[in-house]
Amino acid sequence: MLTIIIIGFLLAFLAPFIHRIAKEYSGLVFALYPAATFLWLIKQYKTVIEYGTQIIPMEWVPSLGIGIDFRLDGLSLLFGFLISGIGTIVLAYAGTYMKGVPNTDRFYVALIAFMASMLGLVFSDNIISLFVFWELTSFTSYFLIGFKHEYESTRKSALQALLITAGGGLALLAGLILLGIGAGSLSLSEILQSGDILAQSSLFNAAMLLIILGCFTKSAQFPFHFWLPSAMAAPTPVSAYLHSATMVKAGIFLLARLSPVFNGADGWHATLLLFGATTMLIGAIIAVLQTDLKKILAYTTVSALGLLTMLLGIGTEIAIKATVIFILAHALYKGALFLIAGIVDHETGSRDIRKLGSLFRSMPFTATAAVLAGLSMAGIPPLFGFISKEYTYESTLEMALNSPLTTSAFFITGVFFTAAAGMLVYMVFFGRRNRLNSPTRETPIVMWIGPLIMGILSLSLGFGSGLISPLLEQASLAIRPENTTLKISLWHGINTELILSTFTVLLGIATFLFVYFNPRLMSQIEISEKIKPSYAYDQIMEGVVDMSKIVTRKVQNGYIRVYVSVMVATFCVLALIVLQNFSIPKIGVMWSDFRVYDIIIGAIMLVACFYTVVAQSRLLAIAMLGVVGYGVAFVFIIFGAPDLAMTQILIETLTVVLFVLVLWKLPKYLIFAEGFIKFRYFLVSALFGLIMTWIVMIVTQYPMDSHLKAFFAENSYPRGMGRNVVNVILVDFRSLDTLGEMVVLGIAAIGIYGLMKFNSDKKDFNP
Amino acid sequence: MNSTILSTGIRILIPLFLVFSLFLLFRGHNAPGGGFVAGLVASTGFALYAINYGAKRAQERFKLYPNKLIAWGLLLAVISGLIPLFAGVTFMEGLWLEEIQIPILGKPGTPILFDIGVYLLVAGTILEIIFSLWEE
Repeated sequence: MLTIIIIGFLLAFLAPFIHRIAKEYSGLVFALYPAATFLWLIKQYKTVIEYGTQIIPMEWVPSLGIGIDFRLDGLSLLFGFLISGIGTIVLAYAGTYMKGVPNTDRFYVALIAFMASMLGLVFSDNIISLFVFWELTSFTSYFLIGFKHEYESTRKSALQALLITAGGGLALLAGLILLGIGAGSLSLSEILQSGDILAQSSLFNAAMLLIILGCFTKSAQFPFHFWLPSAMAAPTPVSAYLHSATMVKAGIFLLARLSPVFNGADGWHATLLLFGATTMLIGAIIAVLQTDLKKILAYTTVSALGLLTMLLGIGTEIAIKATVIFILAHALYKGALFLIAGIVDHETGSRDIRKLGSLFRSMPFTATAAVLAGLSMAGIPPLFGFISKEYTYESTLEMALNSPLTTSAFFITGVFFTAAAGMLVYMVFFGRRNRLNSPTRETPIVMWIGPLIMGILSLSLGFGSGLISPLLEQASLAIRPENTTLKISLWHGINTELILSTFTVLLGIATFLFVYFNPRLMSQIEISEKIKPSYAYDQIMEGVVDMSKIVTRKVQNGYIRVYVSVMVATFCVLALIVLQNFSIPKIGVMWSDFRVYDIIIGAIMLVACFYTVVAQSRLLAIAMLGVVGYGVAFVFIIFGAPDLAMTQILIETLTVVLFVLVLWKLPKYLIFAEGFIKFRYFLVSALFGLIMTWIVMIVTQYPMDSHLKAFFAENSYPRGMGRNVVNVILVDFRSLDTLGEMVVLGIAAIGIYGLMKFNSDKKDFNP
Repeated sequence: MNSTILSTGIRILIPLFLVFSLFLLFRGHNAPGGGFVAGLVASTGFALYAINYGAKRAQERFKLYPNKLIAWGLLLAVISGLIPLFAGVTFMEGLWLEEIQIPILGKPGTPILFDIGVYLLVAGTILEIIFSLWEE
């Protein structure tokens, strides 16, 4: 399992090179990775059916109980199949969809890395590694949403999605850690088994609420749902993959995964039911008001995620079965519809259902796929979506409390789903209102074959639901271990569910016809900006920016002398706090200790210091500083540190060179500081000098018998293979420190580069 | 800035600076020198050229891209730290090929690779600063 994930990340790393060779076929080449994963999972699936849950342990940080353990069971396999199966289709599709788009290599890097992280997420058996993969999916999806980064709105959407999901990620991390403390283990298997101990724990409720919060942000539950429709700025294959089939379901996955622990707690049911139902209704209603294909799909996805949350909140046997069935049904039809929306957009250049129409003639295959997916979404027999709806009705009807409320909520949602399916399929492919002049033609087979396969699967799973039953049964067992066997069948006889289902479809068709014939009326319905949660988000973001502007103006006032004096003064205060424990040492200077050249060098440095301060031109001041530096280098030579001396001399030389370059750009030398201000700086520097002297005097009081010195001297050659102790310390014994310094240096250089480039754009500003 | 002495001299001096910097780099493990100093020396040569002929010309003449130098420096340093992982020891532990002794350069080992990374990064950083300041 780890191998598969590592191969994924390696492939992501190599993607630009492969893309350069494979060019327009790279989508197909990359699709081999998820396809192979899919086949491997089939093999694992047989093992799981036969022997039950498989755990693959792998140590990572054993001292902290953190491992990259993997867990193969029904739930993770169900998601694994979705990720790899739809992943194959999406990558093959993307190869053609992204043709001619610049920077496609970056797209593949992010998409494949996302795929590997998503696999890691669903198969993790350790909550810490699960969290790491969770964050990786947020992170890679940020790049995918922001792929068309030239547009400001895209950047904003990507940032919005990142801030919300990563913000929720923080809550999740806290929740997972509390859960780990409560259960005494970070291993998911052990946590799942210690539900009783956890329920007693005082951390239980806090952990539960934090985890729910994290899952809600990821799975776009109200009031965080708005990031998902904004994320439609991503290229369509990304929307199909991340925002319908995989990433947004990660929250649902985790809720389902931890269901055995939390199922039974009051807060769990109430929260999931309430928020799930709200999200479901809001998403479904807003979806029908949209005219953009992808927006309709996005809001119905929000609604579907709400439905899943609600089902998990119901948590009964039948509800869990309905959950796993709906996860599969939804992934199949929604993924297909997204890809179809992409095809329509790609071929006609429009996603507006008011303009599109009668595409059936020119795109028969795409249209067939769309019809199948649409029928499944509307829940019309014999498609798989119908079975899913039957189970959902069964679970809401069966509830002990609030049954009428949830049933009617789901009824309304079902009606709008049917209407939305009509808008997505009928208006685009059959309606007579094609207002686009551009000729349209059928797309290449790689694009329509994927949606068509998914559509046919929706159809054949409706009839042959026995095929998929064992997998779904395993998945429902993983969510609720006490569940019994699951036998899915199309026909349940005439019962309440079927009657409700029929009414849902009929009313849905009526709603659709209303929307279809009253486009003007629909476009007049507007939702006030101020009641949307996204308005609150915008307000908060603006507030943060304003606040930081105010703080920046106060702290970063542009006077280097203020920065320096603040730093020096802070150091002085801190040093004084420490130094108050030391007495002022006696000065035991023996004049006979000094050699003549010591005194000469000292005197030169002192004179140079004096001239640095009183100099009336910058050049003189810098030259004088250089003299001080060279003096220090001489001291190094005298005391036998040629390495340091050499470096010091070079640094001094380069500093002077750099200063000369900077001087070229600076305005004339003027004295701004007068009188009192000058005196203030004098005080600070004098204090600093005194403190440094004091420190040096204290340090020299103690004998210099450090163990380190002896250690490095002894081990430099035998263990570091070098006779130059300083260098061996730098590149071997303490190389991690050096690496850190290198990173700092590199960042500083890039920062300077950025500053200079930024300034030279405004030519007229430069004097 | 235009000085005949500097502009003539620097053309001859650049190879010298480079050779000297490499000398410092490779002797650094056993005698005074090392990647940091060597990087400073190497960049000094190019810096003087840039001051005399302009940053753009220096960049084109020597195909110098400080950004890339910095990136390569960091990459080499990280790689030198990762190699030991594959040999089964901890991150950044020094590995040496003790049997091989290359003339002048000495024994090859990951710390030498690391030092080359330092060399490139330091040279890149200095040149980055000088080129950005001198670009007019």
